[in-house]
Amino acid sequence: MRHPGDPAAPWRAAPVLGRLVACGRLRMAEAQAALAAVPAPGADPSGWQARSTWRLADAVAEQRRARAGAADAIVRALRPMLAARAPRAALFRAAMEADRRRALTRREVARMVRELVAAELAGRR
Amino acid sequence: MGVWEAWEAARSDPPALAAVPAPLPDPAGIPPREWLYGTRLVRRFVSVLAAPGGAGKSALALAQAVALATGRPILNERVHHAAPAWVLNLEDPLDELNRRLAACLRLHGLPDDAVRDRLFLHSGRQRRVCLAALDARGMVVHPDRDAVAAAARARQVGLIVVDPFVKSHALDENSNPHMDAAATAWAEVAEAAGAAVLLVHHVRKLGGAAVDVEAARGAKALTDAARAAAVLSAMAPEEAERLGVAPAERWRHVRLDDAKANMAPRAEAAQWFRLESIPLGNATALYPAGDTVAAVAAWTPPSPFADLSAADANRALDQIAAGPAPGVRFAATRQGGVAAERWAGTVLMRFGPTEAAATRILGAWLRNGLLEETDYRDPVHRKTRRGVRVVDARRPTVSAAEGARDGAGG
Repeated sequence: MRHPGDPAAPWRAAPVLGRLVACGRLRMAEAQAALAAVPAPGADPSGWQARSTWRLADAVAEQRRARAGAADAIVRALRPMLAARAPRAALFRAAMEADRRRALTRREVARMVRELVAAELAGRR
Repeated sequence: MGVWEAWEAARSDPPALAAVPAPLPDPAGIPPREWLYGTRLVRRFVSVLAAPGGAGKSALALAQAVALATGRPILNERVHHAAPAWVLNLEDPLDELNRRLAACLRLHGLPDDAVRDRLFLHSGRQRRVCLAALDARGMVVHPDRDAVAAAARARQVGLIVVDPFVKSHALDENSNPHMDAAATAWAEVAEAAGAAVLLVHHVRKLGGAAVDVEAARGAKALTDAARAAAVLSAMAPEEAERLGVAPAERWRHVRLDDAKANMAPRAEAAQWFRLESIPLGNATALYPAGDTVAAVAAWTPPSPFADLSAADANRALDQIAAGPAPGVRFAATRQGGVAAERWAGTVLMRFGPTEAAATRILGAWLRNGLLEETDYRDPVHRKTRRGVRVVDARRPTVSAAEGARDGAGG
C-alpha cells in the first residue's frame, strides 16, 4: 500500500481533476475514468481505486466550497464599489483580490463582474 | 449598448448616494497591505518626504527608487518585493538625473544592468507634468493624471517619485482645498496604476528650528492626505558632538524621522544617512576634474561602547560603585552644580571614551538598569543627594578571550 502522501500515488491527480470537475470543464465520470487509467505500478489494486474515488469526491467538494466562498467574497467586495460606480479596471482588480485562493478562473471572475455590473444597472433602471 | 458602455455612461452621471452596509468580510480573507519598501511606501497610497533644501532629499528618493527597482536593501530598509520605479524629476535636466543615478549605482556597486528597464527617469525640462490646475472658469482640472497613470501601468511601475511635488501642479500651495485636490489627484494615480507615490516636498524657512512634518511648506492638506510622511533633516551641531562627528563632516549626515505613520507604528529611532561625494570620472579637456556628485548611503552612528571593553567597563563600574569618597556616590549627570570629579562620566573617561561617549554610556546604563539613581545621605556634607549605585546582576560579561588578553596585558 502506498502512503497517502506519496507523490507517485495515482490519487495525487485527484485535486487537479476535482478542480476541473468543479468548474465544469470535466464530468465526474470522465474524471473517475482518467484517475482509473493512471498507471500505478506497485500500488495495491484492492485499495488504491477506492482511495482515488473518495479523494476525487473530496477534491470536488473542496473546490465547490472554495468557489462558493470566492463568489461570496467577490460580491461583498464589489457591492460598495458598484454603489460608488468604480471604474471597470478597479472592479476587476478588486474581484481578483477577493478571490485570494484563485478558486475561480480569470474568465469566470470577469464574467461574474460583468453580471454584477449588469445587475447593478438593471437595479438602477 | 453593451454592459460596459452602459456602465461608463452611468459613471458619468452623478452617482446616487446610498449608505451601503459594511461588507464585513472574513478578516483572514482581506488582502494584506501591499508594502513595497519598509513601512514607508505601499502600493496605491501616497507618501510624503519633506526636507529643507540641500538636505539630500532628491538623492534619497532616487536611492529608494534604485533599492526598489533592484530589490536590494542598499539603504538597510527592507524591500518587500522588487518593482520597477519611475522618477519624475520636474526641475532638473535629464543629464543631471543621469549623473545622480550613475553616482548612486557606483556608490552601491551596482551594474547598469541592475536597473536597466526597471528604473525610468523623466525630466520636467523635457515635458512638464501637471496633475492639477485651474481652468478658465476657476475649476480644478487634471491635465496629466490619466496619462501618468497609463504610462505607469504600461511599465508595471511600483513606485512613482514626484520630485518636487510643488512642480507637479499649478494650484495655490497655501490653499487647503487646492492642495487636497492635488494630493487626491496623485492618490488617484496611485490607485489606477497600483503603484506607491512618493511626493518630495520642501519645508518652509525655519530659522534653525527643528524640522517636523508641520514644517512642510504650504497648506497642511498635503501631509494630511498622505498615509506616511517622513522628514529628512541635517545633523544638528549638538548631535554631531554627541555622535563624535567632526564639524566639517556634519553636513554630510542627515536623519530621516517618521513624521506620520497611519498604517504602521512609528520608528522610534531615526534612520541616518551619509551623503557621499562620488567622482564620475567624466573629465574633459575643459573640465579636467570632472563631476563629483552626491549619493546617499546608510550610516550607523558609532557605538559609544567602541572604546570600552567589557573588562574595562567592569573596572569602571567597580570604581563607580566605590564612589569618589567613602560613603559618597557618583552622580549620573552634571546638572545641578555637580562638581566634575563627582560625575560618573569622569571614571569612564579614564578608560578611553570621550566625554560625549561617556554621557551616552551612562544614559544607556541607566536605561538598561545597570545603574540605578537613588537618594542617599551624604556623610561629608550631611545632606540628602542623588547618586548612582551599580546593580551587579546586570554587569557586562567578559569573554574568555578578552579576560586572557587583559590578564596578559596587565
